[in-house]
Amino acid sequence: MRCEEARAALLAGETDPRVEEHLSTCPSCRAEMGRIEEMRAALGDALTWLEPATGLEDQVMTLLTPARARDDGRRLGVVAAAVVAVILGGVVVWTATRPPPPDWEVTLPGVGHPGEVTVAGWNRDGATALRVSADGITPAPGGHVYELWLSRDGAYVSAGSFVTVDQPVLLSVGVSRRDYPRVWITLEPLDGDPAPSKQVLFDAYP
Amino acid sequence: MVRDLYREYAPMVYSLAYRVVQDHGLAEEATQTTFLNAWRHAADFDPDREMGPWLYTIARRAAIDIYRRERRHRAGPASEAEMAVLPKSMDETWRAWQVQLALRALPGEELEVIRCTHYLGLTHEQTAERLGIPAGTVKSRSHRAYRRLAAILSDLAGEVAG
Repeated sequence: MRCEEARAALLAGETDPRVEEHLSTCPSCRAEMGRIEEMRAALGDALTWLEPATGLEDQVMTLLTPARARDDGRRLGVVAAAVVAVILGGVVVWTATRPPPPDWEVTLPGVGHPGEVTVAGWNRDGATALRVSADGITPAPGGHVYELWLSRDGAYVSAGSFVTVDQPVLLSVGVSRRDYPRVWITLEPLDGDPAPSKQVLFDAYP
Repeated sequence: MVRDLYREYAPMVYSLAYRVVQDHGLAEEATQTTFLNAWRHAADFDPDREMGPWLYTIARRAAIDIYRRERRHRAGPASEAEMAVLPKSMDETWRAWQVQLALRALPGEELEVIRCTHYLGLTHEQTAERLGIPAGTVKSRSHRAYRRLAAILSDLAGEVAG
């Protein structure tokens, strides 16, 4: 009997005198006995066959959608691209592309930082379109960006990054604020590290 | 492509997470965090290496973080030493991961026979009836599956030794 046959028989739990005979003459297979028994025990363990709920796949895909990023791992927001402003005598007139009122709006006070930021959100089938606006916020220093996060407990999702808020910045995120209620902004170095930095500049607790 | 990655590894990630956190909702959270972190750190992955061990590391970390967070919530302030203690099930997670990798290397028809035998506890005849195939086919698929698993086991032993 060859080693592969003997080990397969052991895995199957077969009692075969030829297996015993092979083991008596094969130190390699004898050395494998422990691992084979572990595998056999694992085959009978319900946790080996555990599967996540079918809906989890779509949830994960939604989470991953906004994380398809540029080379440096950050997504820069589009500066109010959906808005067409016509300046007439110093007055800014909104065109027919003005969006509907947001579903929610929150003001993020500065955390040891001057100014405040307003974030408005439009819910879209579990995802959220966002508008970030602010007064008196200086552009992010060289080699850095501001980044907007939504989070719940230890789980965070980036909604994207921006350098300046001279004009409203439009972002999007594949989760809803109902599931990720905390909204905050950090100052991020462009170091390729996708995790939020410890420099939280603006924060609003739910 | 990322959906293919999820479909291939999600059961293993979820199973690992459940072993650690012992709760389906928390295991789902750990699974989501794992794939999100894997996506974020995709640039760090060396394509010449196996995906399994890399993803295992990320999944293990996600499960441990949630385990400790939940302990903190339930038990209140704890010393660093107390928080460093991990559940006994952690020791099993790598072995379990390897077994699941081996199972997923089986052709679907062979995997189903193994599942009927070991998870459902069916005889060859009962498996044949359940799958709507002859008992002889169950036996031959079973035989092939065990040989493949035994071969994979040897390969894994070789990797560890190497």
